[in-house]
Amino acid sequence: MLGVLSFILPLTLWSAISYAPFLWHPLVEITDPGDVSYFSAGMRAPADAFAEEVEAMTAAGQAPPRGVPANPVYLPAPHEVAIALWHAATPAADAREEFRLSSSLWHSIQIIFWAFLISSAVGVPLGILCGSFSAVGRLTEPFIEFFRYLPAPAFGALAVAVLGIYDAPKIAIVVIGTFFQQVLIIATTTRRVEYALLEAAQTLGARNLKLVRRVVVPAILPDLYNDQRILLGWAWTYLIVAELVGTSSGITFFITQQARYQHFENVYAAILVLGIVGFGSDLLLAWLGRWLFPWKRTSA
Amino acid sequence: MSDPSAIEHQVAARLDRLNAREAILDVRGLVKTVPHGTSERTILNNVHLKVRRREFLCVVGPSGCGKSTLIRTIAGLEEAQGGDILVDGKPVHGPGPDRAMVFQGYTLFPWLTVLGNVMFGLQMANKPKDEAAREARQWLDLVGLEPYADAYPHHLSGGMKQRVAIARALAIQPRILLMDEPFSALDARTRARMQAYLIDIWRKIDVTIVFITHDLDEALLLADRVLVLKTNPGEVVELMDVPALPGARDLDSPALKAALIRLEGFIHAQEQAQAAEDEPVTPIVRLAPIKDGID
Repeated sequence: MLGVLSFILPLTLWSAISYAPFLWHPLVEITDPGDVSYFSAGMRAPADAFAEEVEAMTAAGQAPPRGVPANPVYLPAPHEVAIALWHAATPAADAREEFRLSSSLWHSIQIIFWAFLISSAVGVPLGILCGSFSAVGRLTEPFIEFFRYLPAPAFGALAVAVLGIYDAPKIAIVVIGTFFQQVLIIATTTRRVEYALLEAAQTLGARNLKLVRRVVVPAILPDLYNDQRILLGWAWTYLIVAELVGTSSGITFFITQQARYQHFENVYAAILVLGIVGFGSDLLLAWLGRWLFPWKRTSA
Repeated sequence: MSDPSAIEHQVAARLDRLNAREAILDVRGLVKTVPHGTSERTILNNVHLKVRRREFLCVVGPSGCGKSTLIRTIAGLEEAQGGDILVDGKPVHGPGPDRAMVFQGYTLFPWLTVLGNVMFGLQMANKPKDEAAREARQWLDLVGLEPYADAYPHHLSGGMKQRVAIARALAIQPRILLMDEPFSALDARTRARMQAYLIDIWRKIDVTIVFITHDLDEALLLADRVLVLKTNPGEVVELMDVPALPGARDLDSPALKAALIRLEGFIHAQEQAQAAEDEPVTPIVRLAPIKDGID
């Protein structure tokens, strides 16, 4: 219940600022420019400039401008964003591919999917080996620890030079941002495996790789799953930077384009969709985790 | 009901037969130390022990006497600094399926069903899955948990979990079953039932049991012989024969009462010696003299 309220509160605040004319509204949207030469219908003027012009025009006996209080263009009202979202969901058939929110988002999701798959395919087994065998850990972890501090976006130019300008460098940057953290986090999770279970398994004849495969992996699986959920969140944050590398693409291209045309309701719609997709997939994965690992209470 | 001297006779005859059997476990001059600051602390010092086939041995002693360390070293979970541990005449290096262990915390694999847990050791020995399942079901039947084969451990009570752990340990047909205070986390009623179960199982199958407990009554109910350890360093004080036959024992019988008093004597004497060794502590709490009472 409080969870729902935590969403309603900011939404109420946003609506109040947008719809109650006495809250903030520092500008005046001109409906009729009157005789003021530099005003035009639809433009937004500062409230004090507008008041001055009204006074000046009235004093000079000319037609005063008229207008309604307005917020800056970068703060669209909730209904405008909602309409933008609706348009995004039902794009016009003739709209160009990269100007559609849905296809931009789909492109971004593909980048995330491949990057996370590549990173996990190497990072998860390596992390488990680091955590299970101290020799592997000592051999690889110091370098990984060092590499973790190199910011992934710094590899942008290099990635473009090596991998071209399309999707490959973007995937590479998300991989660089995710992989090194992934190895360290999963190694730590692996080290936290309940020692008593390992001892019990050893007295039952389990050894080495068999011990890893039949005991360590299933024992850490619920925690590993949660780690992956958190890492997927990180991958999303690297996505935005990655998409600016080379030819910008995906949701980031959509956002920058729409901001350039001052279509801020589309910008907000895109940001909201990112949030909904991220949060929604996390909720879905949490629910799936509870279903997959009934013996472990996964924290949502 | 029966003549005490006749029982005494039977017990003596049984122990003679036991002593005539080959030693399955032979601990020779075991020394275990742990680093303690700059020096080393001796946990076990020169422990000798022979356990005969199908014997039920209980190890008792005051807390900190190293009884847990002894059983963990026998299991191969800890390394000895001196001496030898022989199982069937072969020295022990690391844990192995000839010495299964039941722990105080149940240590069942939570991701496996009850059946899966019991199958675990069999599958580690590369038995085919259907054969392992068939064998595991028989072991579950022995501990009376066949109907729960498909349940997960978190659905079971403590006593049931420990029965699964026993079935899992026995399924690999170990030479020795090591039990480290297996019933101490259970309530008194369940513990009594588990003791009866264990004796029943032990009489049915060919297994040798080394059982750690801090409960002298438990030792006298279960064991053929009781090994008493002392603290600091852990050394063998006594290896006492229990003057009763296996099965339902009456702790109120004169022979077992006398045995309990002897055991208590060993442990008590040590605790007093320990207390005398400890430095007198300056009291922090000052007690007011009675005549200065506030009433």
